[in-house]
Amino acid sequence: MKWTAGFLVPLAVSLAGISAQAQITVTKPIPSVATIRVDAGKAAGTVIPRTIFGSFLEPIGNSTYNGLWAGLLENPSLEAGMWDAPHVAEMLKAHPDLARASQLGLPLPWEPLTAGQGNRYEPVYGNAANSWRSLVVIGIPGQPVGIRQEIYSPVERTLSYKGSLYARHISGPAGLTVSLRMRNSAEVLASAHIDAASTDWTKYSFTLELPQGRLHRLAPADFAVEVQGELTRRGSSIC
Amino acid sequence: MRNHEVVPVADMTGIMEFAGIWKARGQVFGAPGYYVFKMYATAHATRPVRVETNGGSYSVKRGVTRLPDIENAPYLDVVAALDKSGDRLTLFCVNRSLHTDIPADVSVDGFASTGTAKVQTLAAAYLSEGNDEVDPHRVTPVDSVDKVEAGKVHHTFPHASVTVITLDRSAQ
Repeated sequence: MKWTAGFLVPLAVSLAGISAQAQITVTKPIPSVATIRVDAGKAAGTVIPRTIFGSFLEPIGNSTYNGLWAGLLENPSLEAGMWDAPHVAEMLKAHPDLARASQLGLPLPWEPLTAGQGNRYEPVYGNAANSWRSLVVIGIPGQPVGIRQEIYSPVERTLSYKGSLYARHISGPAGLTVSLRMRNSAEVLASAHIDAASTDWTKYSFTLELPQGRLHRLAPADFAVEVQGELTRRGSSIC
Repeated sequence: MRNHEVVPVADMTGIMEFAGIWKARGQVFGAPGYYVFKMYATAHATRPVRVETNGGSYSVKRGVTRLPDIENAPYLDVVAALDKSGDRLTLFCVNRSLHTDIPADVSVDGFASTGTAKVQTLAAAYLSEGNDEVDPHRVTPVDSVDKVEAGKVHHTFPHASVTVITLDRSAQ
């Protein structure tokens, strides 16, 4: 990512936007030793207001969510329609596996916990704790079922991550496990078990502590939510 | 700063992303423009004073659409301002030359300074250099100190650089 210093703009803009016709002419050569004379006893204009260094924040990219509001997940509320078609195309180009995940009913950029997992998901509209949609996840006895998302952790400055999720138990075993794993691997780096027994939407908080030195800076990992459950009619709803 | 009476905000880009603070692969980093903004914004220099420079100049014809012609732009451009109390004088110096480091003799009248000037310089080998998640600190301000003798400082401004020189009033 290349940026020019903002205060060099006049020349930088001239050169950055240069066409074949632009001309730069030296009107006075740079001397071998330049001179700068400051007379602090003579004012040169009115007081500069501090507000000249005001700024603004635009809800674009990672500016607000996952920026000012520190976070690791994209689309944590499992919504649909978050991105327009060109952005979706970019996401699929960067992560082709998301196409199959989408076919299984998972919102972008969530993926099934294990590759080859069948359709264990059902998006539900109008029944969620804090958003428009929730996701029913139907477990299989003895098999890991859940969802995961690729994340990048700022391990160079913290190994401790706090999170929360809303869940509603439907049937079967009520346990959920949230974890941080090596990317595309079953190797768990940190995990927390949640007893999500409530049949009402309930917020559950957790903390994940990464072990020192296991995940390197700039290396991707998976954040995963795994349900316990049995075939059909049983599962958990997450939003 | 020089045009503050007609320009109410110095930087119209968002503080996050654009010319500000970025995040990629979990690594937060600032664009060089962010550091320039920070150098200026934290200087608290509000009372501009007179400055004359003699560092050469250039003109542009048929440049970018919004500002096609620029006459006699100084290579070494300096704005100087006192803080609210008048006890600190700050020089904001831009060397617009892409290739030439400019040595300069700085003389200050009307302000009895201590014997040292604090200097912060933002520069890189090439104007196109920036920061990213791999090297988040590739282009960041570098602190140094210059000696002040009888109100004079000698400093070499690197090409394509932004430098902030701070002088504190002597207690005498």
